[in-house]
Amino acid sequence: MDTHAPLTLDGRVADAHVARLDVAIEALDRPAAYDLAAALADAVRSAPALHPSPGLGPVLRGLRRLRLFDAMRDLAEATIEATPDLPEARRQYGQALIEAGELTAALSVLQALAVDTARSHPDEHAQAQGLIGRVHKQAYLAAPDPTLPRYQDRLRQSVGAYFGIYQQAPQQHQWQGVNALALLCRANRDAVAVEGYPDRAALAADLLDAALSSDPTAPWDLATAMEAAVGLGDLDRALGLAYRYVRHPATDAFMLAGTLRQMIEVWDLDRDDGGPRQEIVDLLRAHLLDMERGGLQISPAETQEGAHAPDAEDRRLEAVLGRDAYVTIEWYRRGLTTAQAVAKVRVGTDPLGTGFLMWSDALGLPAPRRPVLVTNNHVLSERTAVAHSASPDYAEVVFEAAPDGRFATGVEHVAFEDPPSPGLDVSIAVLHDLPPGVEPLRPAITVPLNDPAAVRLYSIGHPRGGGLAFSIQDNLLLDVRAPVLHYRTPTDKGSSGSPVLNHDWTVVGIHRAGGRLRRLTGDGHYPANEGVLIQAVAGLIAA
Amino acid sequence: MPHVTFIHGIANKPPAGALHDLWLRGLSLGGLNLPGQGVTSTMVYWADVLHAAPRDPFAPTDESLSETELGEGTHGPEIPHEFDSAEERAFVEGLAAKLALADDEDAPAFVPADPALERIPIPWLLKQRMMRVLLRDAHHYLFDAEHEPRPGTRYRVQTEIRRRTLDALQSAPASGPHVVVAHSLGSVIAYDVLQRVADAPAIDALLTLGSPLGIDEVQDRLQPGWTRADGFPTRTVRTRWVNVFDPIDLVCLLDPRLSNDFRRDGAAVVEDLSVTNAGSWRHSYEKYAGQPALTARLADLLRD
Repeated sequence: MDTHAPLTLDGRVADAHVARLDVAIEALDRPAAYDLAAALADAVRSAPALHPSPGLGPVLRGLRRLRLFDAMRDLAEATIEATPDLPEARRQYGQALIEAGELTAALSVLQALAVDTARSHPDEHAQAQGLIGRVHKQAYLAAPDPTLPRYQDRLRQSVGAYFGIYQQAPQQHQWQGVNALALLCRANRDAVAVEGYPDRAALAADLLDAALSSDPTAPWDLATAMEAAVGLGDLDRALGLAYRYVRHPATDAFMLAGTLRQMIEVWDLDRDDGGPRQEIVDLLRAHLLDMERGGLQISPAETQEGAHAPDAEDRRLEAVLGRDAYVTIEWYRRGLTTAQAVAKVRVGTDPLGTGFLMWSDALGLPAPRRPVLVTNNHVLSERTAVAHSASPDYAEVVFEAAPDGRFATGVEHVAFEDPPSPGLDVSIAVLHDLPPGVEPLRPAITVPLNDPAAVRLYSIGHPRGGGLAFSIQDNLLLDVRAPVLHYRTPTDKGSSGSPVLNHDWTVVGIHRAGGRLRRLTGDGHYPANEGVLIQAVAGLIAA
Repeated sequence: MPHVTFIHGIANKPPAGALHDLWLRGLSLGGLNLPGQGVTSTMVYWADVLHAAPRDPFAPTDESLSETELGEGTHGPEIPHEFDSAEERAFVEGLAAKLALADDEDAPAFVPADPALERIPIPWLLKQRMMRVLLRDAHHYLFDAEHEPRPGTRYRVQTEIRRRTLDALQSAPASGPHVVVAHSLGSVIAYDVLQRVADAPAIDALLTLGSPLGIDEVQDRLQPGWTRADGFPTRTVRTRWVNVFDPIDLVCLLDPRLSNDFRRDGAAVVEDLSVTNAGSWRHSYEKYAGQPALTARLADLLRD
């Protein structure tokens, strides 16, 4: 798709462009949506005048649904510049600022919006108040020392913003109501005095009844009911509601990510006590990842805990929710086990890329059979001519999620390497030591060529600047032509040397590049990621 | 392209498409999604040769599955009692005795051949029914019985199932490993066709689950072709035969291991792999397929 055609906003060209953007959003095609939104923002900026367009609101909501907050912010900002009185653009701009962590800027935008819409747009006013509550909430949750009075004030302000709107029309503003409940419970746990609100249990019971009386039941109703059940301390009921919520056909990645964040940050459910608390979080995580083009960031500690979930708990979950829920979580936990074999490759504190363990014989290397690290040649090479790569003498390999805790080692020697261009851009290294209890990854049987569109691929890596977190991304397979494959990933360009895995968590390829790439079939370029087929690597070694 | 041919086992089944999906799903639960790995598959479906209509595919898939599958009233199918030959009589009576089958519902609890094993935790009545189904289905196949599952449709059971199996084996893609995965009586069908049908094409590997091939009466019926010292289907199985069993699965209980009975030039080459299925009903395909040890071996066979 050519996303760089000139765009004017005074006629059918813009409508067609918005329609294409809608199609990309519907198809969850994030790279295309991103490019189309950027082109639309440029066009809005250069338009002599912009009449409020009914198409822009849905586009902004669609970008939010895909969690493309940068694109949403850019387009909202351009729209505000052209037509300052469009409340939805201002609200989504505020939302994007919150997502970027720019809370002070977000608060200014949203407070002005709340004042301006107080009489003219009651719905927008309520939404703006809710987001103001969210800003204060984030400020409290991010506080380095939450016992400081000024952060405790933020918590009170947050409750005030949410509850004020809820009180005006409880049936309409359940979202704000359940946030007020969550924060009142949090204040109680953190021993922060918050006065002048109804009893928490009564509020939770009201919210639960109201949410479940909606007909038909929308995803938000189920999420609200689940939170209310957590507020009532009825965790088994909350787990059942969480399951209905993740299975609802209208539940999308933005909603799930928001609910997951709320469960972890506000309700503090992410503790490995082996009970329904952890199960609710794992259920949400597993479905967020299982959702088309979903993605997750997981800390090494969470990876270790999830990968070591006891069998008894799995059976309890199966008993409560049935086989299907258990299957998704089992799959997710196998993914966490897979992440234990994934390592960061760095020099000093400078991250260069990702690598992963495989058995040497699975790659066709001669005896002895032993686990070896697979990564890109542009990450690790014994040849000084390979730009940006680390020499084995200086490279450190860190398994952040090893079962016994973080495990760092060095490279003994590079057993095989093939240069980036022309070549497969792969290095296979023997390490000084191996993390105990880590199972090397297995190669995929083959790559399905008949129907690439039906294939989902997962990459696990350490995103640049992502600290210790693992990024597990769901990808769409675009095309395969040995020795490479192309796929699309939801959020970033991936980390060099990450394993590209199929649904069984077996290795299909090694990620090596991302951006606007030449198509493997036909003419032109598209936004894509490129990996090298593991079979091609084994074939090259055997040759 | 790697390819798998499935052969199902005893008792009635859901319609062919639904059964194929269930089998793929079963392996997927064990960590191996064949379509996602680029592996094609077909199912040799033969439940309609013995049964009037398929089982409801939406019946609950818990432990009660075993009961719905076995069906045929509370007592199970009749034990064949009219014989064309002394051999047939010896087969039925010998196997019935071994399986501790009796027409008397108050018969004593089944005692496993190996006294070291605990008593199988399934109600006696259910055990009886399962053994009757095994005996009836094995008999009809091994003696090529004439059977009329629906009015006007008559089959020679072995002739028809051999034909279907041969069709499936011959239509597998020529490139890539071809593995036959056979459960229960399906393993007897696989062995019979691969070892005893002249036109059978070669495959790369054989994976049997919960197989009754260790039972002497069954082996006797696979002659000519089978001998204990050289019964491995060397002409048609190019690499390996892996046999997966649960030691207290009722169907393979009498002799779960095959390496001693299907040797190649006297050498034990079949790989016997013991697993522990959950619950009391150990014979179900789904439980075998969900074993990570089994799916890992199957993936290995498909990679070779």
